[in-house]
Amino acid sequence: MKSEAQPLGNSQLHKVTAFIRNHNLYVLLVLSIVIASLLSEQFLTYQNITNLLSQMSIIGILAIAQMMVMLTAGIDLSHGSFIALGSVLLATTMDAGVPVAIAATFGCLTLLGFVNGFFANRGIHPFIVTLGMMGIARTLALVFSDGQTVKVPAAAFENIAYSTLFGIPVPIFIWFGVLLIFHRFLKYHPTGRHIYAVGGNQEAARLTGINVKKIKYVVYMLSGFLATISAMIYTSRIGAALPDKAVGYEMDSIAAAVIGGTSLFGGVGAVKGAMVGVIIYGVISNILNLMGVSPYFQQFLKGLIILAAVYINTRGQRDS
Amino acid sequence: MTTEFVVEMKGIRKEYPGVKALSSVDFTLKPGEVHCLLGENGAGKSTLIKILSGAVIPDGGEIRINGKEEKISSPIQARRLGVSPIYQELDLIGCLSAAENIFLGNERLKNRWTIDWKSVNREAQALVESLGIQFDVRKPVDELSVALKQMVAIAKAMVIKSNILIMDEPSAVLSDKELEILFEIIEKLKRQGMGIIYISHRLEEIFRIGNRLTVLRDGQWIATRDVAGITESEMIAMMVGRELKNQFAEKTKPVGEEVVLSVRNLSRKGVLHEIGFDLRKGEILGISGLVGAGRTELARCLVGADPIDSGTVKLEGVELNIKSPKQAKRYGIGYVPEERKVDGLVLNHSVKDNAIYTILDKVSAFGVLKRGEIKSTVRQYVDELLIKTPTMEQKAGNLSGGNQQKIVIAKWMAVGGKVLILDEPTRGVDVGAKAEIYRLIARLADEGLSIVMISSEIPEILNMSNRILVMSEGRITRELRMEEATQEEILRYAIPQNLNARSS
Amino acid sequence: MEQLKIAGQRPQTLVWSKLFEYRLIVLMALLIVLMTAMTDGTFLQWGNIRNLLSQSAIVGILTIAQCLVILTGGIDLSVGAIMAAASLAYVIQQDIGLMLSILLAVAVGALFGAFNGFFVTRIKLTPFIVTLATMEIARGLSSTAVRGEPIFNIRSEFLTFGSMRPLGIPLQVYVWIVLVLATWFLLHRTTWGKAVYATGGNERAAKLSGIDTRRTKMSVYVYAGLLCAIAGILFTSRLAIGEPSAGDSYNLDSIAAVVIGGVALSGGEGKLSHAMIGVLIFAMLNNFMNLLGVSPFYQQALKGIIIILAIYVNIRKQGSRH
Repeated sequence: MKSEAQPLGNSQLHKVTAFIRNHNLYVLLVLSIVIASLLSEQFLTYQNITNLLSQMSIIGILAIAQMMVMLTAGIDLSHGSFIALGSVLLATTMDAGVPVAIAATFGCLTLLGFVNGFFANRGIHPFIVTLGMMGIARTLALVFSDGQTVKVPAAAFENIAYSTLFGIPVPIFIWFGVLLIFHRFLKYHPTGRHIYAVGGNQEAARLTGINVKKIKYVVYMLSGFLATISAMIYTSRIGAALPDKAVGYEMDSIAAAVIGGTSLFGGVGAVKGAMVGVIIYGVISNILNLMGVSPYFQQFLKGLIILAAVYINTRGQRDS
Repeated sequence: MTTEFVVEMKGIRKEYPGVKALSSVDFTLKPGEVHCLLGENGAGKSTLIKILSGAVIPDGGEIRINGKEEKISSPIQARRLGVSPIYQELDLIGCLSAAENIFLGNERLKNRWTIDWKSVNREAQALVESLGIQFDVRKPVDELSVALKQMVAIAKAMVIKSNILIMDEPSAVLSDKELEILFEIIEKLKRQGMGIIYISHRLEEIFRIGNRLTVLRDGQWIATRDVAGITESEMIAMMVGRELKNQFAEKTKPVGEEVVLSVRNLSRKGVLHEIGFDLRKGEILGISGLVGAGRTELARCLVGADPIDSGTVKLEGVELNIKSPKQAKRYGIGYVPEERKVDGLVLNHSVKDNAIYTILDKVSAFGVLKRGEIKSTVRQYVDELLIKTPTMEQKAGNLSGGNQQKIVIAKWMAVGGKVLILDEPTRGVDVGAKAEIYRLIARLADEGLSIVMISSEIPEILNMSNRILVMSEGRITRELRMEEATQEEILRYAIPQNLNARSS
Repeated sequence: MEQLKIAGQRPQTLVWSKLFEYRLIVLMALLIVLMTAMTDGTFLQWGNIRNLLSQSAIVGILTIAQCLVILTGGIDLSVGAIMAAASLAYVIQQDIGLMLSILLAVAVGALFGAFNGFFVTRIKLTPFIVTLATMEIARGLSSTAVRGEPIFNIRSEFLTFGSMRPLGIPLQVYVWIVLVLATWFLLHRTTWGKAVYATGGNERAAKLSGIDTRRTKMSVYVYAGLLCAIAGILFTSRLAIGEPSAGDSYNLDSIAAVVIGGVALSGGEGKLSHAMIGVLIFAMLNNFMNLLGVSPFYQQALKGIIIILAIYVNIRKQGSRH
């Protein structure tokens, strides 16, 4: 009985192109690293790489959250505003102690994630819901900070971003820790698998008895939760909360997730992909910086990259 | 009540506005038997199994599962009661592996947070092999053939301990070899005590695996018999035997001589094969066949909604290359689709708007709409076709089925074309409107419009057509002149045949 | 008047549903009354109303664009960015003269519109992702073209549109009104308008009826781009600045106004006039909050909340029909 549809290629060329297509992500990664190291001798230095990875961790964690939301065929546009709000909350509540600040921020952003899930479950398209939340969270950030920069009172807080463990910056550990936890979650935990099910075929998942509403709450709340972790690293790096910054971070998390192979229609995506997607994205940004390309032009390229990545993903889906 | 039956349905009733889908139908299923459900399109088979699988709520009657009375109010509840429909794609999640689909919701766990994938894969593989199939259960379901997808669905039903399987035309998409394997699996399942409801039009299959059969006709229970001892002609007779009421209309003028539409060697991979026919001026050509025969696909290809791989279409002798419905319309070919709510009307828009979507360029000058002309044109059709609506601004979705259908027909009448393809023109239409539509069709043909009428209602085809084409599995299997056309003849050629028995 | 096909409902519920149908006008009336009362009549002064209208004009034009796109079942997140790009194109090379600059700006708008249209109709990607990407692309290009620096040096002739005040009302209000009327005419009195509504209402049925849905959608996106360009020219003329980040918040504003106006996001349903009332309602709320001294920060949140609630209400209403 026929069970699969593999391209019947015999020639070597066919084999190579098939390999590239199946592993295009890694090919892209290697390619971008090669180009970067050709452009600058400093690229492959320990210093530069740890710096880069440390910077990437912020988007890296957001990309995991975005990927999970996309797995349910949703999207989260509130990341940028969550980072801003998170940093404001941290800075303004830190007088009561760092643990209190962290707890309060987790609580608040996860609650806002719950609100996202609530309206997404009521039939309003996720992009509208999170578009609205983007405005709401940004306002809260501005309100709580009176529109002013708020310095982080506890000097020790900068350790999150700047201290090292075995010579490796802490943010990298945090990022990889999150990667490992969620890799395991999405691969071995029933709820994690059900996230894929809901995105792959919501009706079939429902018929199997999976609580679709609960799953959606989970992914949006996790998105708020993970945004808090990113906000912590972000705030620690800057040493202050800037309520009108971090605009557009959701574009970065979307781009990273999509480059990493996550489908906007749900059901397709992996933590591995989110990681590689962020790295590719970060390396490309680094290359552009090394080449002296203005950040504005990078924004332009960012848009093109998203279009291209979505197009490739969609094509791949249509072929199967 | 004896528990001899695993399913007992008594007096099941279901009515839709204007249509009695089921009138007091009884049905039983024994464990370890294959009970086949027979009937023409619209006989009520799908409604009955939808009620059993929880997708539709009956208006009356009682259902007992394993001797206990149940009110099946949702598909999830039906599954919990042990009913598993094996539809083609419904229950599977394509991006997950076969093994995962089989155990979805019943994952084998190492502890509360960890799925034991080794166990899941191992057990799934064993399950699948016990059915006699060999394939890697770790493959994503998307990559499996339809046949294997069915196997996965069956395996899943076994895991959730279903003892009632519903299979709706499984053989329609299987090759002969795959079908054999399916039959072996069904025998195995029978021995395990599984009760199977099997819907199929292929009579040989019923003889092959069926234990009992039930025939439905026009929503009514006709007979339940043992398969042993029954003949094919008896089956067909039960499916079609009915009195033909005289609600149909007759053409008054004879069919013209000239050939208006000429189709040759029309093919579309996997769907249509070497279709060829002529359509004369003022003729009503009936196209009959069962679901999946390719009739709607043919219509869509003729109007450019779907592409064709090869073949020619000539309109009044001129060969056309129709790429879109817009082009087809310009040449004079129109299409009244099978599903008016999905393809025929914009339900949220008014009667007036819907009626002019085909003639926008006609009722305008340099792009500007001539509102007076629109009003009078629509008014004219509303009056002529007796479309019952309080005003022309009424939303199309609020009208009854019959009136909705009239709007669709009206908008194509307004085009003034040469050929009109009607796909199930009276489906879901009440008796009164049906008669009006028949009169309309006859009148249009008299006025010189050439009509192709696709229909699953055999009385309709027999009474309205000047000639009948029977389609089966993408081919035209027979052309019938009216003198030789009977219900039995049509069904005989509509039923899919073995590859050997297929004649040219 | 259309008969309400609600079988078996009591008279009170009929009153509520009638009220609901006219909820926009009711809402606006309520707001006007409330605000006049709370500001001791300042609200209704001619100076204030004139302010209100002139502030809504530019967002209003963008909202026309957004409304059209939403009517075809899509959405446009790039309206603000296209406006900014066109406004920059208007003043970036003032040496070529006023006429050519206008042409350049309009061309830029149309090009971005065509870009959107191409990816939606030919490549068949979902509108929101396409326009999201276009937003970044347009902003990136705009910023790159001016190296991040806003253009301050603007010759007076380029500012004429901003300083003209026929009858004391800024020119942009007239342009807005003219565009609303023109678009209304196109939508309700031409075959193109019918095609737009049909495409959004049921694309399959529209196609089978012989309507070229692909060309219709493309034309809508291009038209939207043109409207954004006009808005951009007016914006720069008035504010005397060419800014790459202009119109940032206008995206949300235009969507909010359309949604409040009861235009369905699924397409094919809704009136342009209602979307314009939505614009006014927002402007009134902004105006109101300013008069009361409420911080502008809250306005962002309010928009977000209003969008979500308005859709929620619409969905509930549709649900109750079944």
